[in-house]
Amino acid sequence: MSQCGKTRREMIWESGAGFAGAALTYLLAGSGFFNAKAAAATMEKKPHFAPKAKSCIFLFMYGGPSHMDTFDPKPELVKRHGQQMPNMGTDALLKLRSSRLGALLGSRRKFTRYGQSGIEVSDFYPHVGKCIDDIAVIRSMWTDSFAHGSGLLQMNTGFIRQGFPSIGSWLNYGLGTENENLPGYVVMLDHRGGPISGPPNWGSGYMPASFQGTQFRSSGDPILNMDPPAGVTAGQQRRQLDLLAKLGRGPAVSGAPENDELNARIASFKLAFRMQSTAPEAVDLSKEDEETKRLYGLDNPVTAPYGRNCLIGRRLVERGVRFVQLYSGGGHGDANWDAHRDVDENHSEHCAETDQPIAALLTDLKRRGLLDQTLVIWGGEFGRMPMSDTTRAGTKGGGRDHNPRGFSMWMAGGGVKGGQVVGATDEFGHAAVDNRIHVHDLHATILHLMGLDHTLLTYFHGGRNMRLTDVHGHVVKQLLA
Amino acid sequence: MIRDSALSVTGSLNPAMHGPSIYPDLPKPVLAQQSRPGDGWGKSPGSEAARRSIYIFAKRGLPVPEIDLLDAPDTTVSCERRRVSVTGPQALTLFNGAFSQQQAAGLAARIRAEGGVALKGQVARTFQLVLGRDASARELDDSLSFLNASGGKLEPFCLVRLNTNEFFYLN
Repeated sequence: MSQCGKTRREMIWESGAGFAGAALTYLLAGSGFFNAKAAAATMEKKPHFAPKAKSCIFLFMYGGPSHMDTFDPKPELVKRHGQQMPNMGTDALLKLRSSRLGALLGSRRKFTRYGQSGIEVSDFYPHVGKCIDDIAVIRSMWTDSFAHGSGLLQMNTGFIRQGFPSIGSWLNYGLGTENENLPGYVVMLDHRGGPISGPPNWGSGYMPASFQGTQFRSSGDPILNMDPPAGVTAGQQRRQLDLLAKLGRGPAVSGAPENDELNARIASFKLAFRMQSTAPEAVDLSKEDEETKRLYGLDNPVTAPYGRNCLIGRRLVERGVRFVQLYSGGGHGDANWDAHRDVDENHSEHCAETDQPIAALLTDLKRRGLLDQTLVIWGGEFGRMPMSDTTRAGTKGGGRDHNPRGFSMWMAGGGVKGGQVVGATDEFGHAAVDNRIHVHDLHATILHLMGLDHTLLTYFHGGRNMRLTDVHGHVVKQLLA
Repeated sequence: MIRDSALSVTGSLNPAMHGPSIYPDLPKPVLAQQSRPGDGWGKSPGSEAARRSIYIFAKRGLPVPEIDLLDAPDTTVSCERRRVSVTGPQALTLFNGAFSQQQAAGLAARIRAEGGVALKGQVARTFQLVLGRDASARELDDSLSFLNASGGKLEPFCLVRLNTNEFFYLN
């Protein structure tokens, strides 16, 4: 029995409110109003302490951007270009990948100091460089896997195997969503394809499917199956939904256990009906002014695809979406940041696609007063090696293999202390040596900025209380403002 | 379960057991999530594709929407208990998705063949097939008003019937 002393069916039946009543009941149950068993099992929904950020946008550079060519200048590497990397024979990972690891490859990029903080950024990212005072550059990231599939999964879910909930799932589980009419977790892929380990990267793992990421497309109808099929009008659908609600009441079945899911399901159809108009509105860029569209580079075919996604990302967090992930790069090889063949050629393409849009996103969020409550993260699944990869067809020796031991990411907004560099790699950029930050630590910090203690945010599965950070991770205090 | 029930009710379920896995048709946007869209996903001829869901090829990186949205467990981690969730995207897929549309059309065809010409008989047959019982007077009333307002087309009615809670949930 619910707290008001009636079964859910009785309440809706007697109130005569029908569909609207069902939706209201669902929303109330979601706020813990009724003693709803189905909802309670998955409820967290409150931060552990006051959050700094309400939303998070993760700009995912799939393939592994080269840190020594973007945010981590290595003059010693440039000096020793062409020489052999020391300790190749004694290091297990280097021995394993030795066929892809030739002589040391100095970066040919020119680094410039930007802003008041004077942090160096390469000529691949001039627009982002201008925003550096809002950015905390992390140069000491490290992770467990050198393979894309497992590296992606670890960056997204904390584990190198699939089957675990992703960051967005944890955040929605922990905090709920601010806008019931949009998914709380949205993912937008690159037009060239998805990342190697695919949908499990935005999956909900062992959590209910309601915490999955929903893929949005930037053209056509944003969500799969959002539009009614050809020939079905909104009026027709409305009639169908009303009939569904009426038939959903069914004959009274005596002795039937109360089932909140039945009514929640009726409500989900009403929400889906509403989503058919809220989702297109969220991705409708026609209402944005010309200056904004130019800022994001929508007038340039190179920057337009990622620019559109960044602008949609801003609109989504404005509308209360909790976690947005925007992939740069797709498919295989040079279609993403995986620069085995040639870093200069690969990254000039991908940096040109992302530099202006990302800077525009930061600028736009800031001028709308949203940056303080929106955590923006940039990075990929790992970095790249200081040595030249000579195995790719067509290479002239300017490519780099994967490097999980040391790489760069950055964070901005949402309570992050900008204008600083955290951590460092060795003189070649091979391994993180100073203030090493593992993916688990990054995750702990993300949760912290969103108001969640990573050790207390647990989900019971398989006999134990699971965490995004498993049994690892610590919050990196230096990143906090 | 839901996929199998829908196929069974429309009369298209192929009960053949054993044999090679099946590949239901996946819409292009779903295949676009792969790093090589379409790679490794075969094509099953019509009747093969209507076999039970247990025969669907399990590609760990390519979940099939009809079952993935309905809390199908990940195949690489042990699942001691299926979760049950209720979501907007589920509703969208079950209402607008190609599979549901096909099943509604299939059910409508079967009703026209078995339920007679009169709308009343057709509604009665639909209840018997989908829910295994007779319609109550009020349900008959509601269904007939809907059909009259929709110009007598059975397909939209069938879609609603395949989506009602009674069809979905065990009591």
